[in-house]
Amino acid sequence: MTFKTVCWLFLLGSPMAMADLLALDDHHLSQHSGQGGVYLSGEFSINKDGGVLWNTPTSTNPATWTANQRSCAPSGSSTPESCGMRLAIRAEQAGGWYVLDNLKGTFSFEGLTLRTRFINSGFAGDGAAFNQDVLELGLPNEVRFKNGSFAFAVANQGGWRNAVAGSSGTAVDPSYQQTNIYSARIDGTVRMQGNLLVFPKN
Amino acid sequence: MHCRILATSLLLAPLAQAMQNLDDHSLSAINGQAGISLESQDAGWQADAIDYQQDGRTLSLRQVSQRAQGPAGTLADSSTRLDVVGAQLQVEHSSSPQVLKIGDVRVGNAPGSFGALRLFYTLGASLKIRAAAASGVSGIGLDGSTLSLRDSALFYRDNGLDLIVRGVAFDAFLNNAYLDIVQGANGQQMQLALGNSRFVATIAGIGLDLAHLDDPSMGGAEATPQAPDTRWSDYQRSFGSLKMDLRLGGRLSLAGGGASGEGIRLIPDITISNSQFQYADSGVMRADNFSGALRSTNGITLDLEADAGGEHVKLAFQDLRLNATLGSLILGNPNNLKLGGLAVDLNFADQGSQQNWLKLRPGGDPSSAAKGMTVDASWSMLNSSLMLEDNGNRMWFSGLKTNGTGQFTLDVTKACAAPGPGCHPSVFSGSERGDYSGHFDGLRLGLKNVRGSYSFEGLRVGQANAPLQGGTELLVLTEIFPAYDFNLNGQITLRPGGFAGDGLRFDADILGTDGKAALTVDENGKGLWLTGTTYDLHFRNASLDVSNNGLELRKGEYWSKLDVSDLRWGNKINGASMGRVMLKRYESGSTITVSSGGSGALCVGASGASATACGSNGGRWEDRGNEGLSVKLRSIFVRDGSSESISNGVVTDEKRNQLLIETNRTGNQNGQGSQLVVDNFHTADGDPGNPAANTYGVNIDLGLDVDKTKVRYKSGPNIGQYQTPDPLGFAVNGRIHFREVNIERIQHVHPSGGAVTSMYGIKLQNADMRANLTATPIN
Repeated sequence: MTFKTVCWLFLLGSPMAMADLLALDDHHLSQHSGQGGVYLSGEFSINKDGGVLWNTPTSTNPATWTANQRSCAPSGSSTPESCGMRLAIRAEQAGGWYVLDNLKGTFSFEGLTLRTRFINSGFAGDGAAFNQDVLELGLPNEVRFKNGSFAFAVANQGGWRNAVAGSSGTAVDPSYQQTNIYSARIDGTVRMQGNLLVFPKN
Repeated sequence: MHCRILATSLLLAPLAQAMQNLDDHSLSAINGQAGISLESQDAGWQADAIDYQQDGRTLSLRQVSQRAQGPAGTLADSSTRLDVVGAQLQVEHSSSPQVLKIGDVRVGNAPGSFGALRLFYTLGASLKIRAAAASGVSGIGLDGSTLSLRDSALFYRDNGLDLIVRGVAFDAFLNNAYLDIVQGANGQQMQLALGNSRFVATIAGIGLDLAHLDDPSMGGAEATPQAPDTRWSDYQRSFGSLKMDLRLGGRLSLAGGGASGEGIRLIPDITISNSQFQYADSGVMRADNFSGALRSTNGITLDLEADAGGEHVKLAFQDLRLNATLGSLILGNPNNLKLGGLAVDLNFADQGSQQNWLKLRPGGDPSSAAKGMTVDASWSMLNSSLMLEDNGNRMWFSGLKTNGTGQFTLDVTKACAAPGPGCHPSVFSGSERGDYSGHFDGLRLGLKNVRGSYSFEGLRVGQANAPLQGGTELLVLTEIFPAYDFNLNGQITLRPGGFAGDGLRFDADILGTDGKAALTVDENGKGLWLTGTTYDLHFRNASLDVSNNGLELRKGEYWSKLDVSDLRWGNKINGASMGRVMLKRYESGSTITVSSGGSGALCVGASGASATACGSNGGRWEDRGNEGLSVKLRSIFVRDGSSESISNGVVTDEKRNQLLIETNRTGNQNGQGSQLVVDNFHTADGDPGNPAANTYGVNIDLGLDVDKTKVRYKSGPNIGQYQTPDPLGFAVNGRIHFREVNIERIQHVHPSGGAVTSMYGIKLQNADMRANLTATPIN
């Protein structure tokens, strides 16, 4: 967990450095067959079978939910849905919270590669000047998104509370307010080709 | 070499002294008769010293005696019956329970002592000796002989505190075995050929007695197996029990002459096949098909030597190869799914200045009185591997090599409020943060400048000569790095008895410095490196058990600080640096569980509990079988409740969860750059009715299997098409789930401008993230 977190922070922190580099062609990649590095097939998913804090109730009526139940079905739907992950950020010491709510989905792929690579040539002459090691993520040709969703909201508390009085007791907080600004659903296939090259700029 | 007994007073009974040897002719004359029976009673014997001398140096056993068990004056009964049957001399021997005592073990003039030993035992033997050994060989045949040891216990005493190995018993069946004198590479040597012998042994438990002190005011009579020291509250607890049933072959040779001059050289060439091995706590770790070999061409030498550290016993081996395969391995509940197979192939070999030796010095850690043991160690291992078998599919962690040197100390210690005989106050009284020389209750292993490294070349899947591939990166979540350079100091103190029942508990303070750990690395040593790493970690009341859930590590109260001076890309020495990363953790009640089973069947790319449901939802059903390895890490991060000012600084409490990233340092000095601080993060159960509840934690569940997967060609004429058949890969099914994680604030720190807070709280809830990945070579 620890090191994964660190690693991904770097990935997110380096987009400017990556922008000038070009993709590796397939011929170049094939020269590294049998060496270190890894080809990954599989999926990443967030809450594809629901989460671990809230169970899915049998009704979309919040008044009927127990303390550990919450449905994230779209407004107007009568079929309850499991909830995705919730991220809330408070930017002011005594302010409200920005919320990324109901974040979920499955992203599956075949052929994400990972290896280290030394670049000192190519790239229209830029490689020789670059002369540095990079972490190379070879992108899979296709990434399939399934049941992806998220909602952007603002709220007066970081943690979600059931604001509608019901039978549950402890979970209910009538003072809780959350306003969903927009929400999105994603299904389909995205073509992702080339390489993502990551390197440090201290 | 010489052995001598000094100032010995033999107390043998007159009957025994009057006996004379029978010659062969006389023995043969009584063939077919009832044989000769020798019945004796004696009061035992004692010697002030038994010395082993070699090259002018001495290993001395002091105050040695053997007597019958029981009250003073008890006589030992023994019975020996000799008979000749055909061309075979048969010797049947039995005796009443005995106790062998060694009051002190010393080397030359070295000031310390290895401690004292008491061995309680009952020995029996049935020897069948013939002049001609097996067909085609010379020597003394021992076929059909049996040795047995019953009701045995070993008490090792260090400064008045006892380590007790109890319930030891074995039967050794020497089938087709023989003794011979042969010419070897190191001259003539005595060789025991094991034929197809069998060794069946049990150890009921290993415990401690920390109440028994040499000071008479603390107690009195010595404890025995029959009368344990009940003043020690944990006297019945143990590290667990062992059972083994080994089928042995090969040979064991003994030659004169050590690594230099006089000495002893033991040359093992032993094989193990179709054997069983079991360690039991409340659960078991059992291999129903255990096989392997232990071989050394040049043998293991024993010499008495001296260096700047004083006189010592030196064990050395230029080469030693140990391979062991644990087949049908079960970890946890005996009725559980199997882990599959596990094999190790360890190849120790000297390489120039990187050598394999142990220097055993009398006396343990300097802060732990004069007794105990200090071991200066040097090791060099290369071309080694670990193999995992899962439903018949195999994977090798290939090209394991490691070398290093360091000093280890072994003592039985006790923490107490005030110093006294055999009792050393914990230096952590009042402060746990000072240094790493503390004393806790238990068997203390001290580490001093243990400097070394290890690395793997990579994974090989399917065949031992399959192409190297990555995948060890997927284990970084468990803090198993593909490569690691380290320098360790500190201590770990083990107590018998785990969280419940047998097992072990421990307290530890370890400081790793000058560390270089790879997050990912290729065959040329290039990758992503944590360099200039200082890792300071502490455990209190941690425990390790084998239960029905598997191997369970409970971390107790745990705090650590990992400070990475430079996160480097490429070369670990001079690769470009991203900057500094520092992570502090404070946890209570965290656990790590390893068990059998792996991922089983699962749906990739969609949801579905069956192959049909998965397929209809657009996913791919992968059944990874009923074997494999499951790892569960539960980290419960505790909020630091201290009320330090948050206005213009970074809180420096040691027991606090904090992640710091620092870049653009002036002169590469910590604190002289720009810092991003993720401060006081902690877990919670997300229960509005009980906001303080914190038992769920951040959970990382890993299922590790070797299985087939879908792979598309990324290049060549078949680009985009699936490889057929599906290639094998290292399959890791990871799941990270937590109910609630809170970050108290995000700070930005300037070296002169101080800290500002950009976020006054982050809350993550209801997370269940999964990464289901199979690693194969890049095609």
